[in-house]
Amino acid sequence: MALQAYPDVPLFRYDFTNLSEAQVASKLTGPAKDGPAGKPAFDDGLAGKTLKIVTDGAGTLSWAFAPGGRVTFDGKEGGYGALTQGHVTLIAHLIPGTTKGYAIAWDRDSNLATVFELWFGGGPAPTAREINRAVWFGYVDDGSGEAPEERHAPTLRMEGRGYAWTEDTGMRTIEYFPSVTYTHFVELDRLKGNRGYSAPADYIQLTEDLYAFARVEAEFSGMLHLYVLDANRLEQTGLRLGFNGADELEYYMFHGTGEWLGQLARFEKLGDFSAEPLKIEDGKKGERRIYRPLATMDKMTPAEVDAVVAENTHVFDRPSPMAGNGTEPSGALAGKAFAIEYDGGPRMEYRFASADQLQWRKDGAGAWTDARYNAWEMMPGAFIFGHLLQGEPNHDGHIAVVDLDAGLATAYHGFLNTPYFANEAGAETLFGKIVGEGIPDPGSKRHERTRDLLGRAFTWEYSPGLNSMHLYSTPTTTSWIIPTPDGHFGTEWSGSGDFVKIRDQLYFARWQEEACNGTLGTILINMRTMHDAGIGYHCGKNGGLSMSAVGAPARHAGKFDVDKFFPKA
Amino acid sequence: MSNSTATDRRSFLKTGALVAAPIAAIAPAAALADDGSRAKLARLEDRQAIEKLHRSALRRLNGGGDCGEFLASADAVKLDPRLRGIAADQGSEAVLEIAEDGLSASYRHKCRVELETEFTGHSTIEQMARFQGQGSHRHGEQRLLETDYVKNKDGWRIARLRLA
Repeated sequence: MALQAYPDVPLFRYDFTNLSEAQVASKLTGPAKDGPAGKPAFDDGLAGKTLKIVTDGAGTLSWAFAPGGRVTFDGKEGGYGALTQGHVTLIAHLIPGTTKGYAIAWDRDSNLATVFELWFGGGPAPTAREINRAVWFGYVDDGSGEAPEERHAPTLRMEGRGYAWTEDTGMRTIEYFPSVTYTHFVELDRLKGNRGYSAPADYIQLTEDLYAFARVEAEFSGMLHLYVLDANRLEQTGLRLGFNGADELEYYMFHGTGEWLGQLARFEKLGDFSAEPLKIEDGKKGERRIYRPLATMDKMTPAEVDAVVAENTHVFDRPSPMAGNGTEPSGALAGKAFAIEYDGGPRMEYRFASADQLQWRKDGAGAWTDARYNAWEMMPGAFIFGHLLQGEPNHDGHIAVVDLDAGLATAYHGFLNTPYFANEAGAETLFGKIVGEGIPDPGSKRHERTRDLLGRAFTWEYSPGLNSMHLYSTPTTTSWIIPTPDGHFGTEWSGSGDFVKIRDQLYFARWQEEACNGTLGTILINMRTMHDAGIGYHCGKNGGLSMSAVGAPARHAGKFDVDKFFPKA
Repeated sequence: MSNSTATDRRSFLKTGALVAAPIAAIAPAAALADDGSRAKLARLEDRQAIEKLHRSALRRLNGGGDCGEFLASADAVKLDPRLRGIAADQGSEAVLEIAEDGLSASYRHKCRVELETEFTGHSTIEQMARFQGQGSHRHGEQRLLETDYVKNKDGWRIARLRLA
């Protein structure tokens, strides 16, 4: 695959070069000498000053600034950039001859400072291209001998916010903050496809208005995107540092303007403002909890999949942790018979023998096949049910929603043997109509994709201690965020999604855990009862091939107003 | 319940509360009618013995110990393996019924149980919970503790203990 600065495939499908530390160092040499690029005129007020910052944990650090954008740190002279956001100056530089640098947010009013120590290689990041950061808090020693007790600090005050930023480079990014430790971002210009991605993040409160934010695109490019934002003025001043998909160094500073998109509810106990829910006590410098799903995912060949399916297939035959708080399956389909005619095929004929046994036949060919199924009636006359298609080469499963009152059906067709990992579930969405005695003919009408869920977030309480929140961040992205027991939302990941309206306030949604455990998750969301029922389709080395129940009560965490950023085709 | 069951001081103290729970003993009227003092004394001794056995067994359960010496048979106790503690519901009265022949008894009381679920599965949500350091979850539930006793040559023993 040819290198692309911003790949036209999903980032989790792109093979980012495993740059060596020497390659990184080589690429940093020139820019370290010259300083960051950027359109805005850099703040010149630092020339001739020495900035001595006393940090808690990293000692006293000293920078001597000279005219022409020159800075000397640790005896090495290079270029720097500085931009001001209100009374906070953001300074950035790389240290020549090293793979290290700093970004400093200096509040000139309070003299408090947050120092981001930055380095490539040497860990804890697993690759040299993924930037490391350590965040130090302190103050500028102004020579008065007085040391303030206050410090900038990690905050949960950003949790639940969402912004649309436009940099002076023209690049637009939607940035969702549904977590205290992660972020979810949508590059509207750099990337195609309007996908959202999740990344570990730092949220630092500088003042009531001003916050420092930094994300590292861990698992992907390893790029740092850092900025100081003014929540009231909706402005940002930032630094971008790292290697894009073409292994080109991006090292520039920017200003930007923002748009407030909304606010999700927070779920910490009222009065709890603690902001480091996943802190690693006595961790290494820069260490934090970064979810790396590809590393832990089973990666199976088609032959391995065939073998595990033959020996270890489970269809609703064991308890599902994803449905501890689910509703009881319905037996109301028992005795019914109908066909679902999907547009473009297939035609699936069904005889429901009992509450959990059916027979299916595809396209009128061959014998009827027995299959175990489960169904849930989420609104009167509207069911979700699922079964495997035994004998199909890709071990397919159909998870269908049928509205018997309307004669409409939609299915998420899951299958294995994708080109990426044989055990990773692929999915397609099938629209069709139901043909059967007493079922109305909808003619050409079909269920349709919806944007009613776009920008919404729901919490899901699956089982005691097993909770998550979904954020439907783009028309094709589902993101999930995992809370801690005390209600801070923490690690986050995301994958492809699809969203279909079944009835008013009844939606059929799915997510694919691509390059991440491989599950196809499907849920029928009833916003009137605030409950869902759904089905997971998964194949792995230990669990085999399974269909299992999903079900949880929901809380509506909020909705971001983002529809306009995703023009309809 | 496995020997590896863990508990903590708090759950042990809750068991202490269980001991203090009031018990309403329902003694058969016929047994008291014909031979007043001896039968009454026997009932009182039975009740005290059962209460003592009950306390001891629950303390042992809450401590994760082996209850074998209290049981009439090896399969007398069947409990959710997730159980980590049992504490009496202070708002309800336990009921002890001793059979007319004085050889069996039943004991029922509402209790609050603490259950621990270990997230050992392969689902993404379990993996992410473990990654965050949340390998298990404890939660409480209101349940009814049903205990049946039999009197054999060694005295009172637990014939059956279940949580409904």
